Amino acid sequence: MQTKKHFNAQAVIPLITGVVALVFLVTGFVNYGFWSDQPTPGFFPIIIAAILLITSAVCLYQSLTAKNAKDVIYCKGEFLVILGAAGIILATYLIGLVPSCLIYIFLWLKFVEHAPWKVIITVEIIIAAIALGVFTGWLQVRFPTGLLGGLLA
Amino acid sequence: MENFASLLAGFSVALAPENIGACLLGAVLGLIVGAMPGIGSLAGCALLLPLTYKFNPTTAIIMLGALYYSNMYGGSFSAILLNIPGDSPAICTALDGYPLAKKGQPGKALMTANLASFLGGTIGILILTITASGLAKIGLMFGYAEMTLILLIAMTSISWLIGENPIKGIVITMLGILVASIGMDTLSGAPRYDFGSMYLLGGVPFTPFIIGCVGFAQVIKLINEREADEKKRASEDSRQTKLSIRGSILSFHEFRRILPPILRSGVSGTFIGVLPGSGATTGAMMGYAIQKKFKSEVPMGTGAVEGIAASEAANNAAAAGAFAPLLALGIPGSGTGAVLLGGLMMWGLNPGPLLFDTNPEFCWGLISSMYVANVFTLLVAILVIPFLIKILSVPVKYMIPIITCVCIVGAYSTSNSMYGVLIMFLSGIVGYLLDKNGFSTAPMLLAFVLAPMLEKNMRKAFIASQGSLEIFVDSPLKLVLLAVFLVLVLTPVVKSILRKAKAKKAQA
Repeated sequence: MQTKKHFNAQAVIPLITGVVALVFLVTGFVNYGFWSDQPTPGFFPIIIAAILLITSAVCLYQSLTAKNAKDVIYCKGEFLVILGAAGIILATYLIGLVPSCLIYIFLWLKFVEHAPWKVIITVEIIIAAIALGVFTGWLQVRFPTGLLGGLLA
Repeated sequence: MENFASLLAGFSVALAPENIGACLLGAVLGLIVGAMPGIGSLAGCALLLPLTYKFNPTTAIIMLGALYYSNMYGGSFSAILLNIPGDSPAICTALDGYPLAKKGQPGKALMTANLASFLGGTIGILILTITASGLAKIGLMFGYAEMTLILLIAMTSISWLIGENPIKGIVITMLGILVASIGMDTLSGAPRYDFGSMYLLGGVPFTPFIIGCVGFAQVIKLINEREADEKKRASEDSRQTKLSIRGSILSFHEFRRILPPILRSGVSGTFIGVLPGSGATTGAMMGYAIQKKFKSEVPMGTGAVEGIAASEAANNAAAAGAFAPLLALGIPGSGTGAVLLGGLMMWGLNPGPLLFDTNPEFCWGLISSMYVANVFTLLVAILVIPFLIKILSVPVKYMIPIITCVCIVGAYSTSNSMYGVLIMFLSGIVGYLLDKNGFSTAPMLLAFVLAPMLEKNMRKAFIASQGSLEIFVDSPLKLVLLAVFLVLVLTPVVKSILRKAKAKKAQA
């Protein structure tokens, strides 16, 4: 968890927003138009995309020419959180959402945080109470059961 | 007088059993979420938004309003006991609250914060009661062009105030508007920017997007705070602190000390809350700064109850004041306001000048419920004092998997499909990357919520004027609004140029 990777993405964000702006600009002009006696569906997004394109270019220039710019540091732990959530989403298609969440909590607390069993059991009970008690019981949400649920049914 | 008669009618709505229950639930949850360091009112409101789906619109927004409001109370708890502000408006509270707690008077600090929050909030709600419908009446005089200019001012003011780079503010605001334009055209209902996906045809769902941008993005960031949190907790002697309601009661002399700052901050905080883009944090800082100009028995920053009172009264008053432009003009003053506005729209209510005419029972029900919420929150906040050490002893590292699961479960429940979860996940990663690179996500949320209104008004203005830009400058009011907008746009740019010129001169 201590290892830190240096990767400066200061210029990447304006580059991506610039591409997004370009896509909206071109799609807007080609598919939705700008003006036909009155503003068409593309009118507003095209103006916004044009402003975004210009400001992204300025932002890109700023980040490329900035002196003493601080490097953005990404930690391994941050990717672990994203990976954990992605794991829940993928596992939901196999074993359902609630079991995926409970397994994720067990794995996270046991192997990442090295939490004692008392904490693990307490957190499992809290999440089960939130998911099943509040959402399923009270809000009547039917969570996906995945392939396993389908097989069992 | 008319307003107070409407307020009394509003109490009949607010005091309905289900609304009292929702108000109490919102107050309790808001206190807990607000007390948890690192979550904050924005993420708290976003995470708890799915819970309100069970209720009718009035009850739902009453609960959300109570939650937002009690968050301000909760933020002070960890600021006082752990020196970790639960939310940004509590930063100034920590300056005096923590030193007072270290002096062995944590109970007094907590009680001061609670009383100041209550009284400051009451001042804010009173001013809201008097001004909101008047503001709505002024709003009724606005046409499409005026509304376009006001919405532009609202969007730019928050983008400009957050962050030091105005260009980044514009980029993030424009991105929020473009995300909002996916789905259906606001005027014709024609599909737009769906890129052939049937999911995108319905647009980007509001709640999963918000949960991701603020909730999940916050969890990713929390991982870096856990080590600091552990160290801080290890060095704290707060675990040994014993808290009781009895030991927290203020003497008459202490109450006299905190009353003037509360009154001053209550009034100033409300007016700051009304301004778009300022919000509770600015209110609290301003309240604290004003108090520094007055005498206090103990020097400020060393445990002065006056400092705690000024900061807490101002942030609660600002939280109440922010409801005035939100209800009367449909303009949220902050990111949390944007979540509330999105919630209102989700339930089919259109905040704006007409809301007081079309849904008076809702508007006045909400305002009167704020009085009720204020009382409930004070009671809960006082009763919870003996248990605060236990509540605050939950380490950040255990919160990470809990909030991750709540984000996923909440996102699914609001969309009833994994599409909502995917939107939450992706917007969380985007929100985290943006924040990491110095792009604050609050302006994006505000833009996302206000974009449909801005587009509708702007296009209708152009239709009315047959494409002429003159419609935006043909009256003194429009000229004033345009001038305000231009000042907001140009000030940071000019400032930035001057700063660079100064730096160059210094180098030479």
